[in-house]
Amino acid sequence: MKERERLKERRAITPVISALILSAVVLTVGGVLWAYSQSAMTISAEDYAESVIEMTDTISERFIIEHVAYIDPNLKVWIYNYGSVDIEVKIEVGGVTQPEAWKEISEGGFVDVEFIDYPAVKDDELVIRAYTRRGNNVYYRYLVP
Amino acid sequence: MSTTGISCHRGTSTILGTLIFVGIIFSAVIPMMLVVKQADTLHEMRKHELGILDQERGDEALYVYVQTVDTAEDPRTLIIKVQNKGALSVNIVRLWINDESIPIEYNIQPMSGIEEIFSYPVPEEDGSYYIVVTTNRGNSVAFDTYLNWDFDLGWDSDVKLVNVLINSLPGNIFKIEVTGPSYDEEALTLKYEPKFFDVVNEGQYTVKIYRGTKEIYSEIATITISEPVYWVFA
Repeated sequence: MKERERLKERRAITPVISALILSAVVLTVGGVLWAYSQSAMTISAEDYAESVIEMTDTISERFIIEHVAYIDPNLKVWIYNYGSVDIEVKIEVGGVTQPEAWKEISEGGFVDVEFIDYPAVKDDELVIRAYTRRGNNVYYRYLVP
Repeated sequence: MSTTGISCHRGTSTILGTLIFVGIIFSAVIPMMLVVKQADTLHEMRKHELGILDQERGDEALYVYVQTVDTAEDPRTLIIKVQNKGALSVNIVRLWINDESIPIEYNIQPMSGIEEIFSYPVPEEDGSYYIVVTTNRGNSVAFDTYLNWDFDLGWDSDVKLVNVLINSLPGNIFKIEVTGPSYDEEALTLKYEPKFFDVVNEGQYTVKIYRGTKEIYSEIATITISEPVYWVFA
């Protein structure tokens, strides 16, 4: 009788160990999952916020070709950024693009771009396109005086 | 006994798993959703602001007038004036005289009278002048025509126009009659459709508007060198 009771008491150690192991596994797997999900969610949130900011900046761009002058043989184009974000622009006229590097125009800024030796004659109709790095376009029709 | 023991241990793990799950929800998923929601809100706010900006840009109603002066005290001068006929105040940021840009800062309140913003001394040699004003909302408003300075003849402009726009008179089809110095023209027009009369000479012109045979509106339009374009809004 005593022997049976002693055996019963000894058998009780296994469930305790199994409970400890099970808890340890749950804690380990859960911790890993927690850390992974936290970093993954942070990265996703940052990516999403960044893409939304980029999209907001793209739709916030506002600029015009304010003035164009042809002083033989150079064509000069003035661009006014009246939006609330800085922009980078290039000008394209009849397949020719200027300047080679993007021209930066800060918020409320105003710059000119010059096409040296641009071939044009009186009454030529030039379609001038200003485009930004973010992909917005503005067109201007100019009749050479 | 042993079955009860196992389910008891499973229970502990289930509670731990649930706690971890709840922890993940509160520390990772909800903050991410908040960030996403905030970014979306900011984007929508910006879209709304831009909509207002575009609307305001379209609503600007700035008119540019150029007065030519050629007196002994004030020889060969262009006086640039503006009038804000819109409902919003307008900030003028730049003035263009041909290809020369002149930065200015001028705020003109809505429904104000005609205000002088700049006086430009014209060089002595013959030349043509085209005036454009730029606002901070990105509108460029030009004076209606080129003004020509000739050393022998003085000031002149390329065109002299009486323009008529019917937007408030009752009816749809109208006859417009413009009479003045060596000028007598009539034309049919529709409501909201501007009609242009190239009157050639300076002077006073009588603009009469008829619906059928009945005269319903009359106005005197004065064309001068400083105001070569006159608008009749009826």
